[in-house]
Amino acid sequence: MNTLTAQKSAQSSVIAVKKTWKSSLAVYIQLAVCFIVFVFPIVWMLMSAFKENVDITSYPPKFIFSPTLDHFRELFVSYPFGKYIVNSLIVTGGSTALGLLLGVPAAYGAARYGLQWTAFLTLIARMAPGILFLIPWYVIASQLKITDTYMTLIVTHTVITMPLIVWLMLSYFQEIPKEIEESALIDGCGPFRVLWQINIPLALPGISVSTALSFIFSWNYFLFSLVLSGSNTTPLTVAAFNFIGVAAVDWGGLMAAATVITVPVLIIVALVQRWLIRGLTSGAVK
Amino acid sequence: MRNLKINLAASLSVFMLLTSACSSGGTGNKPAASPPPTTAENKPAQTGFDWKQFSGQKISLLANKQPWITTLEPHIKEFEQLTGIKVNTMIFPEDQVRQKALISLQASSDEFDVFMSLKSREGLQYYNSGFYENLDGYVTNAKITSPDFDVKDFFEGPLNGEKIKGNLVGLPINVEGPVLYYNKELFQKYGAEVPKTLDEIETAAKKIVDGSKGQIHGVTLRGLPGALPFTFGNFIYNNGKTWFDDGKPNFQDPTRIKAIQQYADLAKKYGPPGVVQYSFYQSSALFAQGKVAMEIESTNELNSIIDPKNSRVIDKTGVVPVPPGPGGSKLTQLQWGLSINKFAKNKEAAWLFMQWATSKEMQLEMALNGIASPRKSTWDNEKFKSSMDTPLKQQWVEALKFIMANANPDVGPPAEDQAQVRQLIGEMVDKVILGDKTAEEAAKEADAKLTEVLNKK
Amino acid sequence: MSVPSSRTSLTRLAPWIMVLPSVIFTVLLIGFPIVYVIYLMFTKWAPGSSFWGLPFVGLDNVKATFKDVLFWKSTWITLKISAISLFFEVVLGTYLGILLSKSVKGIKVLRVLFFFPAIVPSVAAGMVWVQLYDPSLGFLNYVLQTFHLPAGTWLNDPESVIYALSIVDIWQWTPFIAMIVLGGIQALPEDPYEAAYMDGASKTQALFYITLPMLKQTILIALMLRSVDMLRIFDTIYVMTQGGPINSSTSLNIYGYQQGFLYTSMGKASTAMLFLLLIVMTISFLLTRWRKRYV
Repeated sequence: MNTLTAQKSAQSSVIAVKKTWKSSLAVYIQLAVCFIVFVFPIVWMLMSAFKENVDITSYPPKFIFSPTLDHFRELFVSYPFGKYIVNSLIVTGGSTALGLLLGVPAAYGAARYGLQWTAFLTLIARMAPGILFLIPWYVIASQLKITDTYMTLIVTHTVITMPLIVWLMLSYFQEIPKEIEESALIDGCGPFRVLWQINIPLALPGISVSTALSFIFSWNYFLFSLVLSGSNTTPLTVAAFNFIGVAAVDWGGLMAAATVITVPVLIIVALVQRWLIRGLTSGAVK
Repeated sequence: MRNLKINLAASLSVFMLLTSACSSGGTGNKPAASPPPTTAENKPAQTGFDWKQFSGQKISLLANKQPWITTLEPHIKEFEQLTGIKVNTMIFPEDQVRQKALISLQASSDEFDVFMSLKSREGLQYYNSGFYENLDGYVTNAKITSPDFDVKDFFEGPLNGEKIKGNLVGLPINVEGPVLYYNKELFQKYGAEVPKTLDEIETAAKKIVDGSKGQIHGVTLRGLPGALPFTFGNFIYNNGKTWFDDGKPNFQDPTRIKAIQQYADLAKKYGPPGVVQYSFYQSSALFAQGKVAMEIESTNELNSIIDPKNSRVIDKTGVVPVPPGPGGSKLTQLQWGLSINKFAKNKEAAWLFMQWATSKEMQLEMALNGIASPRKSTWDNEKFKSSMDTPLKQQWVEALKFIMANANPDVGPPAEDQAQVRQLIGEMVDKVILGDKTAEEAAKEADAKLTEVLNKK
Repeated sequence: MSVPSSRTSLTRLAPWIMVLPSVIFTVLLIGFPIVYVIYLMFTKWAPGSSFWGLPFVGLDNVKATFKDVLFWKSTWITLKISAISLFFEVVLGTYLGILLSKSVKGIKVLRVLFFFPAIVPSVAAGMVWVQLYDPSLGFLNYVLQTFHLPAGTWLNDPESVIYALSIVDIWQWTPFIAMIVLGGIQALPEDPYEAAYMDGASKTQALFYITLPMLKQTILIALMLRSVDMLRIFDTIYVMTQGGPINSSTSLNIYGYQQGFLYTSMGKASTAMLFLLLIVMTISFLLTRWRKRYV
């Protein structure tokens, strides 16, 4: 069945077998089944967000219905979802920026000067359960009366973003050949200028991916805000979660809220998808 | 319950007599016959009281998603105009509010000034932790309390429920008690009788489940451990027992075992699947969809059940108090209250809000929307009387009066750590519902655990 | 190098200036809390008590935690849900990764679409699945009934809740594992395959004798990355069941949250969290050693 024509092109597939339509069909059928399983819940969420409450639980499910924007209107009129979005953007943006500020130089320093141990230090954050940090933070923030402030949320979310940025950027900086900057050093540029003018521009794709991933992870992170945010700083995830308690009553509102927190992330992924998947897995496949 | 229909005035006067008989000191109950002094047209601003004294301040209100806040919220603009105080509302489901409030209060946070609090649940714990502002001095302070407020207009029961160790820490915003909602259409269709005793609930449920071949559930009730005692307690009372014997847990007593079994059987055999996670939100949603024939819930749920947006049973519903058992009928009465956060910045502005929200005018407005008022004047009000114009609403008024006349203020057993204690009682019943344990085994285990919690000082 | 001396000192200090801010941040926000949690383990904290100088209670908190049936139950639940989810995520993820490595038309777009579950916020995922799982009104039971299968109670039954939660986790993270596996496949050399096909090996044989053994490293790395997160599972459970029904889905992280923030037992919460940290570290260590054996 297999004729051998080893493809020398840099094809993504390594299985260098001439495709017969039968084997292609088998692949497509499997892909279709998987696709339904993995993508259906997201489609269901988007669909339900635009359905009347009565239609969401009507069976057989209606795949053709007249869409309504009522649930979204409800979110933005009855609830201050506009403010929640701003809160989320402030916290996510702030923690991403702070993560870059701390993480990029740290990754470069660790990669260039053999200080990898400092990068390892940040790994503790990946191991420890969130509640472990949250308990002391909560006790301290209560004492200092700084719960429910943007600053507290930004700094705590940086615990998520910074280690991520350090690890992603470490592999990027390690890939940049030393020779490029040695000439610059001889020309009398200081190490900081070398970092700023040579390495950062070269590592820009990596920085974009790190920024996107930090943003997503920080945006999705729920636990810290659950305890440390308050009426002034409630981010989207916590606000949306509150719909769970009344789920049975207002499925549409629940789905609309879930949609509102998901869509920004999907957009980011669609924009940077090409580098994103590589970035996510680059640390792993070495 | 047509046989219980007495005319309104007569029943009210009986009811007044009863409440004043239970009162712990003459607070000068007005005789029932006196005409209602207030009407909604009396705007509080006319009395010369300075509502504007805290103009420009901001307060936050933390409230549970309940009919009360749903009805109040559109009116908050009026309060803002009256006082110049800006109100920020935070409305979450009950469980989330409870967690949020505790996390915030433990952090001594001032993120909310006024909050809804169930004194019969967390009252003692919060009081001992110093979370409540004591309001005794506020009520008597003429500078910040309008002469119209008339604290004596509140019924004794709900007002005393807002006192802890004799100190006023809140104001009641409603009264409620357990009732049985039933779907008349389904009852007729399957030839079931409206239950007159606890045992007959099961009879009716069986008839409907059998008749509909399981398409319709017989009854829905609370299964979520922390919430369950409110509906379950009545099975203990109406079988002639109280929660504990002399302050000691004794669920292994045969009568209590019977109550556990009775409740668990209803849930297990005739309840919806997954009922162990049900609180009032899910029960009412299911009942409003017409998927279940009976619902044991609070009078407060009337509003959700006849909400035109979600309900298919608006004109098919009937309601009676939870029926009596061998021990007669002693039903839980409770009130929700508003309290001021001890750590709040604008306590006096918050006090103005509380006054306004529990004023005669607002309580009447609430009552017109199916939230039973803790104020006497509301029940005497002609507008209120004439608004109870459907058979369902009349039944609902009757049920409330019956509950208030036979009130039992103990939502849970006497213990400071109500959250833990109720959780354990709920888990005990749930284990029987799920068939993990027999009623005897579950009761034995619960007694041991409860004793441990009570002894933990 | 003949550079001015001020420059040299700065040059010498440069690496430290670059890495120190992140180190200081880590020590303050990650290192210090761990120390403080150890302190809380031996003291009694109450709402409103100050930060320092708490009354020492010796081993009371540790004893109370280890005596708590729920604590051990939570440990068991954490391990159970992790084992079930990880097993299926690795198996299905490997399968999906291989499937996505095929060069058929439109595969590039599919790779992105398949990745979506992994980046949907856990909170949103939980919210959607709560609807799908609803015993009376949910889509899943409707599907089951259409095929005349018995309806499940999913999240509302202590017997099934762990499996129901695992399904959500598997749904969310299988694509993530698949992407790592895909990256691994794309980095594989071609020569072994050519040699094998010359010898007349079938595709299936190539898969089992060449691809999978060569992917072992990658799969183990994926397993490690995922297990560290899996053991600390919080979001989905908290959103969907809050640990219920009757504590049948309290993972250790949920247990810690409940003890610390709902029952004000910071000492117990601290003990449980350090215990969880220990579990995570132990399992990571074991997986690393296992990986090293294959290097």
